[in-house]
Amino acid sequence: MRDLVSLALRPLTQPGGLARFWRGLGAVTMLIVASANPVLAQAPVQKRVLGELCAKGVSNQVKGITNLLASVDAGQVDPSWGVEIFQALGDRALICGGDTPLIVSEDTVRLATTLEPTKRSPEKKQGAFVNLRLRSQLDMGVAILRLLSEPGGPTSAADLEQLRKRAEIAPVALIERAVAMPGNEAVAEGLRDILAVAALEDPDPAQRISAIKRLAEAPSARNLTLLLNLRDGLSDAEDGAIKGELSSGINKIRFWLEVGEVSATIYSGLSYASILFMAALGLAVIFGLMGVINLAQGELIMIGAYVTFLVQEALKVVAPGLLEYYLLLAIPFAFVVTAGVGVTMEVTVIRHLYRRPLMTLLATWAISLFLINATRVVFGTQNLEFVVPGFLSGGVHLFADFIVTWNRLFAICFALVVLGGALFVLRYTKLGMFIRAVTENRDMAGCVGVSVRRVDMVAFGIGSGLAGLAGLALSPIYTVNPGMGASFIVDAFMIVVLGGVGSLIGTAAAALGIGMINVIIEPLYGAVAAKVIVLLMIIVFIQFRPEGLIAIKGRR
Amino acid sequence: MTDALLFNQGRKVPGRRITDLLSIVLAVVGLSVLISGLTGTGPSSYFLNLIGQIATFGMLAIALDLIWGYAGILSLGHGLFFAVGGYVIAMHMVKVSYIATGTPPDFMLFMGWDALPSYYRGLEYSGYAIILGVVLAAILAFVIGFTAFRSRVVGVYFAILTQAFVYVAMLLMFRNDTGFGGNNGMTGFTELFGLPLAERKSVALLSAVSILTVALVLAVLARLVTSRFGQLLIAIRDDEARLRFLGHETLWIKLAVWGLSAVIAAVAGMLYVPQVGIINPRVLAPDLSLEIAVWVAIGGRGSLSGAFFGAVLISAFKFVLTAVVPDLWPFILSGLVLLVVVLLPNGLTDLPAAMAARLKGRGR
Amino acid sequence: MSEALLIDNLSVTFGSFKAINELSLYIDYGTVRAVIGPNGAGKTTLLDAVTGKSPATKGRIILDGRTELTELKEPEIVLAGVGRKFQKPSIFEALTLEQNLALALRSASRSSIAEMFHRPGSEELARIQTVLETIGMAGWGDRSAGILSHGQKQWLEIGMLLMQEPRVLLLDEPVAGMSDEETDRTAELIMALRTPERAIVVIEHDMGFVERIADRVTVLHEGQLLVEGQMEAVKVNPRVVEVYLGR
Repeated sequence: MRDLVSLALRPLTQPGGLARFWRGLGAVTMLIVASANPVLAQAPVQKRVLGELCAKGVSNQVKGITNLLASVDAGQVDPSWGVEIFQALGDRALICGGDTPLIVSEDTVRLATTLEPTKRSPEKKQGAFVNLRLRSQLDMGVAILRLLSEPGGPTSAADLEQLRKRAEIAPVALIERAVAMPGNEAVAEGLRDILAVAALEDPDPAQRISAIKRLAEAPSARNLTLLLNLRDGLSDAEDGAIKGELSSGINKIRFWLEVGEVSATIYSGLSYASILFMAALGLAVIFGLMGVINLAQGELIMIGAYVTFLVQEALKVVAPGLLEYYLLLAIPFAFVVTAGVGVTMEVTVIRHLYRRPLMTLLATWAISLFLINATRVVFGTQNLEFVVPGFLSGGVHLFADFIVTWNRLFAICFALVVLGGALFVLRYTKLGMFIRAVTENRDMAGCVGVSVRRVDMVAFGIGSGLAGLAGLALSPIYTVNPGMGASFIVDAFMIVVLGGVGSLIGTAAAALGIGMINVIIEPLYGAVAAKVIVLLMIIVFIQFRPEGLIAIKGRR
Repeated sequence: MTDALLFNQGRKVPGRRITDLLSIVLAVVGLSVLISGLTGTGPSSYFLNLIGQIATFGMLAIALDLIWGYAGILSLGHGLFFAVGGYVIAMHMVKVSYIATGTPPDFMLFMGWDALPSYYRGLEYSGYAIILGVVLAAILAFVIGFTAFRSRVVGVYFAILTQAFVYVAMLLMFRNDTGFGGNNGMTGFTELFGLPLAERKSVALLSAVSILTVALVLAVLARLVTSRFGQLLIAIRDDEARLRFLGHETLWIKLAVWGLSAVIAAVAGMLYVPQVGIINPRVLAPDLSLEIAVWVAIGGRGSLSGAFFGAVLISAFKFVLTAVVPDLWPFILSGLVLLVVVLLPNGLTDLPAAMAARLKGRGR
Repeated sequence: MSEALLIDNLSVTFGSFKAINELSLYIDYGTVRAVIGPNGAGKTTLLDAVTGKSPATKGRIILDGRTELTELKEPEIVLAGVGRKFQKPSIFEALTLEQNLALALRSASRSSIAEMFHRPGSEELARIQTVLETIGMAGWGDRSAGILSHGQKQWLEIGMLLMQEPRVLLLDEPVAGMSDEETDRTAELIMALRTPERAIVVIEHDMGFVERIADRVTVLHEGQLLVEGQMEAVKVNPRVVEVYLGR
């Protein structure tokens, strides 16, 4: 034993031996301490990464994020750990300083390296401030790591969107991994698109070409910008194949974007035309029948909108569960109430002005004045608030930035139903036959026994009811107040003048034409110019065809 | 056409007597106003201004009655010509003011303009301004009339077309960058023909001129409508096809009377704006143009004096009632229109005849 | 005697409906031609085509051997010498008889503007009185036309046409709605209007009246010429009977 100790102590007696002894003792001590503290022994990567994330300067922090992701790729670090760290950093819950970073939440304090609870107390209350650049990096990081740690999880769609937004900084390798992971099928396609964006910068020309091709397949304004930027950034020495692919890709996207724009314009025009059509239809029927221009038509539209409002308010009180469907439930009410108003007008006033169209013009104007002011007195002059039902908001994205919105679709479908219904009534019902007869030859119809006065009354009611429906259809889209009728009446008149008297198809065609022209011209020259141009076109048109688009030939 | 059948029922062409009487009465009133202004005695400046304005409305109604009551052409856009006259005279006053003070009016300063646009050139001359107003109104009338009448746009269609025209003009005038004041219009006029507008003498003078002009117009038109020209107008109103088949090209006759009506309306506008002190696109509102037709319908279509009475009556009512019961006025107006239109097809001039018929009926 | 009116292969089509189908006929000066036929035969449409109220789709209409009417506007056709009386009496009820006749004094030599202010000269005033006599209403000149009876309105309208001294006079159902007495007087009036410089075309349904006044009779059916000739022959023509009485 004495020999062993002397053997051990021998180095110490030699020159420098004492220093060597203390070094050895230190190493042994460290080993003992290290083995007692497992964290320090097992988390060198995490520590290093956390060190960078806690460093001063955003660039260092960004480097830390990149390194963390790289280490995930290398398998050194679990992606779920990365998610926690990123989220904590983003929430300012990662407290640096002290001997080891801590994550602080409401009730617990955890060690950042292992995520295990600890009794230590943090030095500061809040972590470092997160600026915008850091924020986007963090969001991106969380998104990709979540896709890796929870493939097919509830947040995948949102994560995909985040990655899309940050496609330029997304880590390609990790995305490829996420694509390959089973469970991520739903987002795989979207991820491949993102890879394509990244691949635009790939040194391998083949990759770039396939990336360009891929982007060209999904036309959107954003992809166009990406390709254009790429083209601007190309030097002359670049591969001709890439340039060619870029050109054709850009052209393709441009083409589809234009198609999308044209479609959007047509769609918008269709919906405006639908509303104009419904507003003008009642006017056309009444004018064709009795030669009466009903200047109160705009107010009938207004009444329809107000009735819809009342139904909405009633539902709020009586059956809140049905509130979503107030538009549909209001249909019969809007029709019946406005039809009633119309019939009252006909019986009390219009009937006595038989064959005096100019006087009926003045009389209907007086009625419109009355209706506007009566509504003002009862409801006040403010705009009405309408609830937008769930099934009418939003839309479906068809292609190239063209979205089919539901509220416009509702207006179009409604108008088509009304058109179909009107055509049906006119062609296949007895009432329709009487209406057509009286329109074509009033006196003769009376002579063969058609009760002309009754047909007048019923048709006036129907024409007014149609105006009420127009009011219902446009209440979710346009402002509603007592004076709203005036803005539709001029257009409705123009449609009647243009469309010819007594023809349903003529009215529809004229509404379509005027609606389209308005929508096309307005973004170019403004609303006033649109009205002026429409008026001028109608005047020119009438020069060549005074009877309108389609005139019913009949003996006057 | 069938409007005419009900309208006529064996009545002869309305005689000149009442209209001539009215001319004389108005001439007397006009002269009194003039004297009142020159001597400084008599009613207040406010009252004189008011009757001067109402006189211009009367003139506007007469202009409409000329084409509607006599030629059967209903225009629901006569505010357009009224506005042409009004805006031109306003531009004249603005120009005069600019020359006197060296600064453009407020509405131009707001836009950052430091001088008047080129189309204001020459407008400091009142003669030029008046002629320009008349000529512009005539040209506008010709363009609208030619395109419409040539395509045989008549009746209700034509009425709607005129509404559309005045509506579009209103929209155009609402623009703030045209140099016509935009939606605030032009105001702040200080003088006309060298007369400070604020002084009672000038107010009386303007008022007198308005009233005397109406008297003159009435006298001239009364002769016109009983002349052959007037018979041609009545023929067009009652049966235009028949007149064409007698060899008359009715297009020119219609254009002539339409142009004359437009010019009279423009002159009315020129007399109105200095008296009311402001012009803005509200004057081009389709509703106001329709109200002119209401004046004529209520007062009596086809007798110039009736149209004048209608305008005076409704304007006076409106003025009094909107001060006393402003919310009630639209209801009163609509009720009045409905009543007259349904019961008295030819307006209030029918009233004596209708009542006489009623009394006769009771006597049996 | 030359042709006052030549209608050559005339077609008038409304949309897809052939109102007149390749019709040819001519009318001599100094004669009265009756145009008859069932309803819808195209009689009024024929007058519409001649006066320019309806455009001719095909064919020619030649007045006095030299004027092509299909190229002219309605007032121009009138001034060329064609007068037309409408089915419904079309006069100006708000004006007096004299004023009505004065309005018919439109002369081709005056411009439209001059016409607007033209006052009838003494010669024209004399003509007005002559016409008033011809139509049997002398002395009624200053009465309002609105008070005339139905028959009198028809005569006034004919009188207005006479003011123009037309070469071709087209009368569309002149005795519709008239009493027997008025019908007689109208027949006399028309006979008195026959001059060697004038051709008269009358559309009518009253066969007795037609027999009295017509030199020749043209029967139209479905826009085409069916039969033409003297009234006695036309009356018994089996095809005419068939068409009138229905198949």
